[in-house]
Amino acid sequence: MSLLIFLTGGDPVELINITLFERIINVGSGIFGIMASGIAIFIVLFKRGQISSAFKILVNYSYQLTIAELKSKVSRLNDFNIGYKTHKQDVVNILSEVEGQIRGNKTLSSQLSDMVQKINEFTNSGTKMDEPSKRTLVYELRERLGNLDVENYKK
Amino acid sequence: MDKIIEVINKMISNSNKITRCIRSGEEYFFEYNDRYKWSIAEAGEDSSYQDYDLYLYPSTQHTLDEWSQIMRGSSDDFILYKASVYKSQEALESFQELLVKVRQKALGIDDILEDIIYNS
Repeated sequence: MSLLIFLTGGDPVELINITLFERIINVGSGIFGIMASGIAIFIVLFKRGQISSAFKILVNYSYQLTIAELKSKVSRLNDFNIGYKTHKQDVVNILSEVEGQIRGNKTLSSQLSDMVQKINEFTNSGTKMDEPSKRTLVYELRERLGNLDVENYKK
Repeated sequence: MDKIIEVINKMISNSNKITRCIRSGEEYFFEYNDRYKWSIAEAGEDSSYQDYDLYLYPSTQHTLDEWSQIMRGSSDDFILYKASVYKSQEALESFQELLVKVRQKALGIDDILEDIIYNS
């Protein structure tokens, strides 16, 4: 409203008295607003590719980090032997961490959905949950995670 | 996925299906499920690295006894699986445990151990 009064040039008696200072602030903010919009339009029109690739790099980085974490968790499974009673619980704990982390990432959960199933089958296999089948699971997990890494690198 | 690691661990889990173990030097020949002929040996002469050779004899070219007595030639039907190819701890341990199980059977260790546990 104060901008309107300024533009019409007049100071109607019943309206509020606008100081010169306020008028300058008004115009200044308008100009900055136009400049900011101009920058935004420029970015959208000419720099959209750069912005989206920067964003993709960020998403990919967090994906890579998750894969690296999973790889290190899975290799820790080799430090335990299911034959030892105390180790069995450690193995189960690590596997549920791994499963949770896979499920928590949309890309991973779709690419490794069968591995999640195999982990569940293993932890629910009762007496069949022995060291040899643990080794088979670890081997397959490491192979699949390693392949994901390679595919990602190609992109 | 390379199925051989799964196969090795399956045979270890079901070691009661490992029958007919024949020792030939440092190589141990065995039959699984009365059908499949294998042999396993420690490879690598220097102790700097551990390696294992696992052979599978898929055809009826020879019997297990024959295989244990002849030298393998280039015209023979067999596949060699080397542990070092699989480059991972769990793969190496799988080969290792299979060798131990087969050796125990070949040397009759199982019977000795059971006798000690149950009869003394």
